[in-house]
Amino acid sequence: MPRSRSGRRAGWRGRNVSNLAPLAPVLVSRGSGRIVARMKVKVVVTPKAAVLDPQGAAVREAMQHLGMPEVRDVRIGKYLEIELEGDGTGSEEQLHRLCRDLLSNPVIEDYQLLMNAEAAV
Amino acid sequence: MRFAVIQFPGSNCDQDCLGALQSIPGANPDYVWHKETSLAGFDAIVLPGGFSYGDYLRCGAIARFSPIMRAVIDNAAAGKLVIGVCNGFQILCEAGLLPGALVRNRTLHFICRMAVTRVEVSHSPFTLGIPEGTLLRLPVAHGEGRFFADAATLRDLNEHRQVILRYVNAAGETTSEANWNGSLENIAGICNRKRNVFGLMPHPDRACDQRLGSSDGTLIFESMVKTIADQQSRAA
Repeated sequence: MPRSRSGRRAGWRGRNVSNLAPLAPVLVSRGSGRIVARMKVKVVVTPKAAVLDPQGAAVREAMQHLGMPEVRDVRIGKYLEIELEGDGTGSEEQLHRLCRDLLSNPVIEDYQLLMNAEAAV
Repeated sequence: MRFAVIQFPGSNCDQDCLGALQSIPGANPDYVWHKETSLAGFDAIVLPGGFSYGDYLRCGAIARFSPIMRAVIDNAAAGKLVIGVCNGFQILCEAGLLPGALVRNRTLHFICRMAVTRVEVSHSPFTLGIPEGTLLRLPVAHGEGRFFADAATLRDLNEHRQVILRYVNAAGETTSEANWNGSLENIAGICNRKRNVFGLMPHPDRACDQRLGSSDGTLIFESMVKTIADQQSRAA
């Protein structure tokens, strides 16, 4: 059912979409005074193109009703932020393995692993 | 004949499965906690329905790494009968014991109702002696039960007669209305190539007493008991 558009758009403005740029490791201080590196890794999981995404279709229709008839397609996936201790050296292969085995199901989903390769110093 | 009913944190049909199996002559079911690592002494394995690990990440995605799953995989490889109902089916797919995956229902609704399914093969250990085309009334209760597989896998499943049950209407036809969760080709249950691992979204465990609306589920468990008895008498 089409909804009233008035008063809705203002609320949308200024809402930031999460920045997906890879993060560099940061140094954090622990209680002991020891400084350890921490690194954030981001994983984006999306349904494969061949898989019908009824959630995405429902959101697409809602967006069309709310004043964006030009919305052609919406696909809903998952976004994970993973914090690692250390600078991520040597973790990449294991992270890919866990992306395939646990974080995504390769039958129905694709994944993208975002980590800063330069961080491995 | 000993049946292991695996209990994961969040399983909620373990008691249904135990109760159903207790009503089957020859079946002697016991619970096995998911932290166990051995299934020695059991003749068959049941993965019950529910919401293991709260369905976090994906249904069955975390349960497949429970310690007991190593033993389930080894026993399946050794030819033991394994049946996964609802969440159990999802776990079997996640574990790679069955092909394909179960995704959100086409309607997005959690649907809880009686479904009519049609037996597609009578030569599986789970449908032994049930003539092809027999209609089984089995309840379904799931939000993520739409069977999906890529085209090659689907072709393979059909070619090797691995589709055991399909959703049909009261006349036994695979219509799109009868396929209320949107599964590929009305698929409700499949087995592996070796035919000893069976996953299905409908609940035979909730259809073992006429007072609950159907006792058609007993046919599946009785078929398992008969198959195991045959195997054991051949081995003896």
